[in-house]
Amino acid sequence: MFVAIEKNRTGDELVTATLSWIDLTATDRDKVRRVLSLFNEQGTVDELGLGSLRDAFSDALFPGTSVLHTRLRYFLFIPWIYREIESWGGGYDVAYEARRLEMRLIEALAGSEDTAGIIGIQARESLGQLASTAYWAALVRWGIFLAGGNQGWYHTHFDSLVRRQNEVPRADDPGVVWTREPTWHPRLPEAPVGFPDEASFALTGEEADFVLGRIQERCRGTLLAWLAQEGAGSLADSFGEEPAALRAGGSIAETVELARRFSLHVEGAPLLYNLLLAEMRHDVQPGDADAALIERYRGELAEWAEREEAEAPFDTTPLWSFVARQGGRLVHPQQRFVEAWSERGSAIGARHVVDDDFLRRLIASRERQLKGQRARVANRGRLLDWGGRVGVGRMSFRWPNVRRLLMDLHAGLGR
Amino acid sequence: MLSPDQRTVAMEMLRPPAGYRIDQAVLTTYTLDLDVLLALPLAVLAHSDRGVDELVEQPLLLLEALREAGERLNVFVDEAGIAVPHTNRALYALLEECVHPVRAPGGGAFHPKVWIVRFVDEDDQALIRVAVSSRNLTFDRSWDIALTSEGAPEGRKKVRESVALADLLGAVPGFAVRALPAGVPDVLEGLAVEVARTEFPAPDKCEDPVAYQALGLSGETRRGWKPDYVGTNLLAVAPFVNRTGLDELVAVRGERTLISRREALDELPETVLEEWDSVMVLSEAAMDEPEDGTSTRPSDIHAKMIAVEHGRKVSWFVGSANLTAAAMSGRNVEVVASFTGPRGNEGSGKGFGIERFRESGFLNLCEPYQRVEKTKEDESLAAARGRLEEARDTLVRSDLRVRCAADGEAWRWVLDGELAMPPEVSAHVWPVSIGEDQARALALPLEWPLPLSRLTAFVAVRLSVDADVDDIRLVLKLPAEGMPAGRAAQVLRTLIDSSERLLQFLRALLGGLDGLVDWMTDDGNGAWQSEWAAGLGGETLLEDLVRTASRDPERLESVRRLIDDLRSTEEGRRIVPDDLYEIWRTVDAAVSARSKRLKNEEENPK
Repeated sequence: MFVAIEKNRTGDELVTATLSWIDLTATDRDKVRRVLSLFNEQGTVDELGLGSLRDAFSDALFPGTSVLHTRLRYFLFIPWIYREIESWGGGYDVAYEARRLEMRLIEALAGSEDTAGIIGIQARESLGQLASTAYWAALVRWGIFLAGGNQGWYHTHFDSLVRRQNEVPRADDPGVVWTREPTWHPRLPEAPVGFPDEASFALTGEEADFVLGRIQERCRGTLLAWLAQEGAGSLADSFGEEPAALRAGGSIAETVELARRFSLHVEGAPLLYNLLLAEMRHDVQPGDADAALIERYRGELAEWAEREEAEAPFDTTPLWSFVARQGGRLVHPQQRFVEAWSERGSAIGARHVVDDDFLRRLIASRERQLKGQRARVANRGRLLDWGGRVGVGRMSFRWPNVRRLLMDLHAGLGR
Repeated sequence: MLSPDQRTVAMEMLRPPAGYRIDQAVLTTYTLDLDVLLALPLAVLAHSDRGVDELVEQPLLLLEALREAGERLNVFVDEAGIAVPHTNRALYALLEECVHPVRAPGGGAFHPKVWIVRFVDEDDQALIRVAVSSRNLTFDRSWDIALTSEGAPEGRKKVRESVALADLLGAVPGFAVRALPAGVPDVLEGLAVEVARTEFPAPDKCEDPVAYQALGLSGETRRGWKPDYVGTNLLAVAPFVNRTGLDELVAVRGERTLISRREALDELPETVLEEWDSVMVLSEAAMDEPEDGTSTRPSDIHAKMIAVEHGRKVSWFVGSANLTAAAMSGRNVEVVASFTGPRGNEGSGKGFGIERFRESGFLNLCEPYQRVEKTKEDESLAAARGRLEEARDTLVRSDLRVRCAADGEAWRWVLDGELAMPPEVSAHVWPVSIGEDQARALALPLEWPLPLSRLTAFVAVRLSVDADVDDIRLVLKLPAEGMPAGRAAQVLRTLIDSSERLLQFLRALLGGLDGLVDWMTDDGNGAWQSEWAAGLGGETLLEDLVRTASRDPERLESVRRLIDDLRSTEEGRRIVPDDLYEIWRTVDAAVSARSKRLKNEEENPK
């Protein structure tokens, strides 16, 4: 079992003693990271198992994006870091060197004028999830990383990919089977002088054009591509109100409308869930705090009902066709839940949802089905620990993050 | 300092550092899932980042990896700790040489979770990596920690801090329930000698090396183990706690924080918790995200660690020991690793103090523990559970064995021995290489007709009582007589059952093990994939063989083994057609001639 010789560029010893949380496999580690990032999103913890539907919309509107994305220029920083390592030839511990370069980048950005959204600014050396990890899927989806594998795969095959890029077809290999695809997009602009020890989030005109080109090529027909083209330097707080978005026609407009309608339609479910918990806890432990919560949720449900009743009844068929078109799995329990919510809600009217027995039982059994013994409706301890407000809120479909990326893009295009 | 998103992957622990390869790995665990063992060598050799569950579904990969790595792996597991695997694989037979059930001399559990791996470089210089963890060799997902370090053995003098680890390695062969395969005790002894002379550095900025302690090696119970320092401020984390364990710690003045599992805290008398300033549990939101279709076993705290501050420093104790009497008194075998470092300053992000741990964000995932009145468990259920556990202990200590005898083309696999089980407990058994649906009630002797590839020394047992308590399921590794040689070859033969399959496997094999992993698990995204997708026919095989022979002749070793194994059986010969074999022999001969010539030139330069 031999390993290719790997060395550190400056010959330092690689750090050898660590104390850390441990997972068995990389997949397990990634699962935990996803749980953690959801956890950090506070109010958007997915109590009723609708997260996959929300994600289907987010991916259709803004493909490749993630709630972890902060600034646009990372789409260039990461390739520049790896191209730098590629230029050294093979034989390096890629993961280690890339990490070191990312650390230098953090320092450089910290010293620049615009420091909002620097990934790793707090944790620095002890940073668990690097910017490259957060942006990798997007780099693949937008066609900036062309070799197409995940980051670990790239590290593993780094040397042979570098070799292949440099390989001249040999006379004794007629019809050579290696596909000589470059790793990074050939038209990626050069890194500025001084990178990574000098860096800022401002894109040059050339860089902005490049990113725009990738989005147009790979995300054609999505709201992301539309807004990249038609948007402006300043965008509304909600994409439903963004004028540029409203001008988009055809299937983009349909998706936006479906997302908006769906989000509104199911907004009542977590509200009813929290009301249920408040009532249950108030029964067990009467108190002012919970009485106030009950009133508050009744109020929010009434306000939701008004908005919901102003709309046409929600038809679930387009929702399932949309999911199928996106290549998503139609999960039966989730589907039944949404159908039941929808049917019953339409039958009795949104304003009667708050007191409806059937829907209350539906919500409770949905939580039990998802969480088993840990469901708050079934577990006294969990109920008592309930923080008062979980899983509530209109779905934003990653707009806050996408908005920032688009604004960076337009700032660059304007240069 | 232990921030929740800063994580290590256990599989990567086995990966050699630059310039080294694995020589030996010794792993200890309380519970063991055989599939984890199958996947370990593969994950290491294939340098793969993929999930283990995918890898384990590829028997050919496993076979290759096991054959390369199998003889370098030794796993010591508690005699009652091998779990019944979810699937029945013939491949488990290949693990028999690596798995060694052991018994704690103190009568408790063999509980340590230590990985000791010896790497060597081209000049045969050794490097030893040690990880002391709270994690068993199972697929359970939970919040575990590990303290990892590595060092090279030097000189003749023993390193005081490492001696306990050497003692563990020296003692473990004595705990084995049956005779160990030849050579294993020597491996452990050699490793013990080296470990005793190796200093294992502690994390950054700590002056002294990591100090290891092994509890329960001698079997005598003694006064409870305590961390060495009586200081101020204490943090204790463990999934299982009892009064005795906790009481040992409260001598520490200052603030005391305890993090544990709800279920364990509910069992404690209220007065015990009054000694603690802050008692916390993991929030459920930090456990598994609710996903349709997945079993909702929460991934709860499993880490066992204690931090004690004293002056400007803090000492951390990390390992397998829960805060229970059994762990701390020597009934169980446990291993704890400790180091001392600076507390560090507020907000600096550096240092190991309890405040730094607080700042790192793990506590954001926790919430204060609130006691909930539990309904007392039905006594009859507790009694039923006790009967099951007694039956398991009887079973594990009884004199059972496996005998194999040829019966024409097939084999007879016989379970025999002396056993006296309590009457209220019913037991069913089956060899792990067949499905549970073929289990039979335990009455000795028991016989199954099995093909050669399914003969095994691993026997699964299911114990049940007539009450609403869960069955106890475990696997025993029994001494086996009459096992034929060549089982690996036979298993291989069942996996490659046609020439097409052979050719596909050969082509992928020529891409090296990592190519193999990618080929078998690829979801079609990689651009390089096209080289294998096109032309899987034998026409290009010669080209591939020749190209590999000229650029990477070591890869041909696996091909040689594969073809030799197949050709050793009659059906195998049918799968490796003569013309393919001729091609292979020509290439092989050319490669050996060339290497001989090169060697000659090296030794006799003109």
